[in-house]
Amino acid sequence: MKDERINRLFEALKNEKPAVSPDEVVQWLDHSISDLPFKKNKSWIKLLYIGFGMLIMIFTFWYFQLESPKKGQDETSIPAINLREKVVEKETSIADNLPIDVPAETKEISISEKVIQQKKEKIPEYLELPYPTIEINFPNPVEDYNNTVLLIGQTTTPLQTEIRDILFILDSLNNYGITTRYKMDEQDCYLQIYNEYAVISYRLRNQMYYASGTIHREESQEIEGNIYQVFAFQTDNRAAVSGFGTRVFFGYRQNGNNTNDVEVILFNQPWAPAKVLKAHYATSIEREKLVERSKSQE
Amino acid sequence: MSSERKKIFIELYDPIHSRFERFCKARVYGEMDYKDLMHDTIVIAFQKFDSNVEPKTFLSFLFGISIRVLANNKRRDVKKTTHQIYLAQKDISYDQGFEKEEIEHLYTALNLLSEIQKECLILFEIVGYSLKEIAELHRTNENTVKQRLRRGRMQLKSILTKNV
Repeated sequence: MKDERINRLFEALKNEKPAVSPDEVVQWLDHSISDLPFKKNKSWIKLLYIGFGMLIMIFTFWYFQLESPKKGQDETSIPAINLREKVVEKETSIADNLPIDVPAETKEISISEKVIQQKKEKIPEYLELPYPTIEINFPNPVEDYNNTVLLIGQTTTPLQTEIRDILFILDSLNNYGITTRYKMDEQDCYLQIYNEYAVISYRLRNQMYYASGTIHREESQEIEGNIYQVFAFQTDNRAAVSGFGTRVFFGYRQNGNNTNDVEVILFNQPWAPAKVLKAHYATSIEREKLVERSKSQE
Repeated sequence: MSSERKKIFIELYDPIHSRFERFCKARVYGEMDYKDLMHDTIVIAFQKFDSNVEPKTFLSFLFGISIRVLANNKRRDVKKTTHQIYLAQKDISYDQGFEKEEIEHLYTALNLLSEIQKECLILFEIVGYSLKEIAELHRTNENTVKQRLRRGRMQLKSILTKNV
C-alpha cells in the first residue's frame, strides 16, 4: 500500500463525524455529579463500619459480663462438694432404692439420716485428715550424687579447660567439581574457631560472605578418602525467613603432616561439598594485622 | 458551585470533543468499547478538574487521564473479546467512499503496533497534534517522537500491504 493511500485513510478518520453527541457527555456528567457525594466521601461508610464493629464488641463484652457471675456461682458450688459428701450422697441414693414400705416423705428423711450417721462412723480416718500427704524423698536436683555441685546458668562447662583457637587465612576458592579457582579479593579473609564459636569471612569477586555462630555439631567425616573435621553452626549474624540459609556446615583437613596448608570445605547440606577453599594457618604477623583491622573498624 | 464547574468544564470540552472521541476510538480499538473509555475519562477529569486549567492543555489533560485509565484496565485484565468490541463498533459510518473493511484494516494494523508508536501515530495523524505537543505529553523530545512516527508508519505500511 502506498503512502498516499495511508494518508487518505488517516484523513478519512480525521474528518469522521463524532458518534457521541456532546449532550450525551453532559448526561454522563450529571450522573457523575449525583454520585459524587457518595463516591468522594467514603469516610461515612468507614465510620458506619467502625461503629457497627464497636457495637458488636460492646454487646459481646456485656453478654460475657452477664454470664460470668453465673459461672462464678457454679464454680463456688463445685469445690464445696468434697469426697466425704460424695460418699454420703452415694449411700443415700442406695438407701432410697431400698424396698421398704414406708411413706415416701418419712422414708427420705429417716433413712438418709440413719445411713449418714452409720456411714459417718465407717468413714476411714485418712479421709478426715485435712491434707493427706505422701512422703517421698526425691534427690536434691542441685546436688549431684558424687557431691559435685553443678553450676546452673553457666554457658560453658567448667570441665573444658583447653582453649581452642584456630585461625586460617583463606587464599583461594573453587566450586566443588569445577577446576576454575579464584583468588580471594583480600589477604585477610579468614576462618576462625575459638572454643565453640566459628567465624568465616571472605570477599570473592566483589561478593562478601560472612557467617558466625556457636558450633553445635562437631565430628570427623570421610569425604573422597580424606578425613575432615566437620562442624555445623547456626549463624547469629543475619536474620532469615524460617531459618533458611542460617545453618552453615564446614570442615577442614591438613594437607600432609609437615605442611602449613589446609583445605577447607563449605557444605550445602551435610555432607554435600559446595566450595573448596585453599587456606593456611595464620602467622603471628597475619594475626596481628587482623586484630589491627578489627580495631580500626571499631 | 458544581453547576459553575460543570459549565466551565463543558465550555472547555465542547471544541475538543470530536478530537477526543477520535483518539479514544483509535486507541482502544479491539480492546474495549471507546465509549466506556470516554465516559471513565470524562468522569475522572471532572472530579479532578480545576477551573484554572487552560484551554490549550485541557485536551492533553484528558489524554493523560485516558492513558492512565487504559493502563489500569489492562492491569486488571478486564479485556473484552474483540468480537464483542466489533459488534459494539459496527454502527460506525464512514464517508469519502472508503469501505468499512479498509478502515477496519487500518485500525487492526494500528493495534499491532507497539503502544507508544500507536499512540504517537494516533495523536499525530488522527487527532492532529504537533510534534512538540506529543513530546510534551510523552515527556520526551521531538526527535524521539519523529523516530517513533517514522518507524510506526513503516511498520503500518508493511502490515497493510501484507493484509492487502
